[in-house]
Amino acid sequence: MQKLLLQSWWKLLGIIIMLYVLIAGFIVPLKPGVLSIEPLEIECGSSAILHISAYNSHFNEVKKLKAYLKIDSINQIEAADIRVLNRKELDIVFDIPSHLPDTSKTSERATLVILDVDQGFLITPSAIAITQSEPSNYPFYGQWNDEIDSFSGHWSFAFPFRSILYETIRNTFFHVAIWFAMFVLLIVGLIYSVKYLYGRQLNHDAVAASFTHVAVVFGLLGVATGSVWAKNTWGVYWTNDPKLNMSVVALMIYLAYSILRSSIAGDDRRAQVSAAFNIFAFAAMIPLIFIIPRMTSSLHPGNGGNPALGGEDLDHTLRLIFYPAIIGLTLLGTWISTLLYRIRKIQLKIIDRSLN
Amino acid sequence: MKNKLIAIVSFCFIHMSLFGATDHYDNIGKIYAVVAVVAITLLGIAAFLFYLERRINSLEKQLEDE
Repeated sequence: MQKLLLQSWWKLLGIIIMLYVLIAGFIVPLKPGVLSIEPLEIECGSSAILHISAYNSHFNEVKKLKAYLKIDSINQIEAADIRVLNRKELDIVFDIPSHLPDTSKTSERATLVILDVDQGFLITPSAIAITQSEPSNYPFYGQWNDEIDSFSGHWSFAFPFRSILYETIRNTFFHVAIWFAMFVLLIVGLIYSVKYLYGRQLNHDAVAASFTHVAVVFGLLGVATGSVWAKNTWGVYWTNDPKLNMSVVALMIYLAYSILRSSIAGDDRRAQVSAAFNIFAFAAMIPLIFIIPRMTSSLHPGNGGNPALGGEDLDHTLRLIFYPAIIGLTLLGTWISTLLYRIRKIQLKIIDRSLN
Repeated sequence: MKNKLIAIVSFCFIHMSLFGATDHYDNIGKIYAVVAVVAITLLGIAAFLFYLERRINSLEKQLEDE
């Protein structure tokens, strides 16, 4: 262990991984997606022209474009005509059937599906309201039975396009990964606190204190980066969301750990009290960060009624960078922790010498 | 840290010139939020390194005093 601590390969590995994360995290483009549609409401029986403006699209270079309005898995119509205005803009003409497939409803929210034969689908769920003035007395399935072509082009390395998030989906590699790294460092701190209580070796207490200290710094960075992300997606720096408030409470408990350490005189006594406190702090953090926010509703992904890390939100292109980011930040945090540990060890030696 | 930033910036420029017309750097996509998050992370880690340096300085002083 002592030997590994002084070896430099894993520190270099951490830096290389972080370089990869930074470079790939910035240069991999976002998939094309629809930014705005006009009009948002159309009527049955009319010929509607939808003006689309898109992001990262190359409509003018695309070989073939198709567009569909989809009400559900069986009811959909294909566009009558698509006019490419420029790289980012389209006019799509739909001949809307005279009635909705559902005889009882007066309006339906249809999903707009644009198929770029090279790059794949641009899907905007519940994008357009289709209204009918008078529901018909008999089913109209017959007019809504166009089929959506399957995508046969090549897979492109690009991040998913999510409205509201847009490019900030890249923050997953930094904001989310830093919380994961913090969690790993806290677990190491916990293990060494327990080890101290068993063996009463001051070195173990120094390891626990160092890892916990760096973890708190990572946690603070997690809160700060999350706040910036929130401003750019939710519109405010802070909301009274359980996930946000509870993670700050958990961090406060860990900040109290640092204050506690500096307020107790005597190495052994400080080590005992802070080891016990560290175990308590970890036990308090689990429900605060992982359980309470899941029991209520939360804006924050991964909590009550709001999934994260599920197929849709974290696709394989994101995973290819997100998982290395966790490893890279953990290695970086471990490196900094070991530096702090060595400082503490020298400090213990100096005190020892001055006592003798 | 500084090298990392230079690397990112230069790669961004290479990317822009290679791939040309993407909307990567329009702020419609809020790319600057990502830049801000990365900057906060790097500055935060740098601040902690300065804190470590201060502790080492005080250790050196203690050794000199003996």
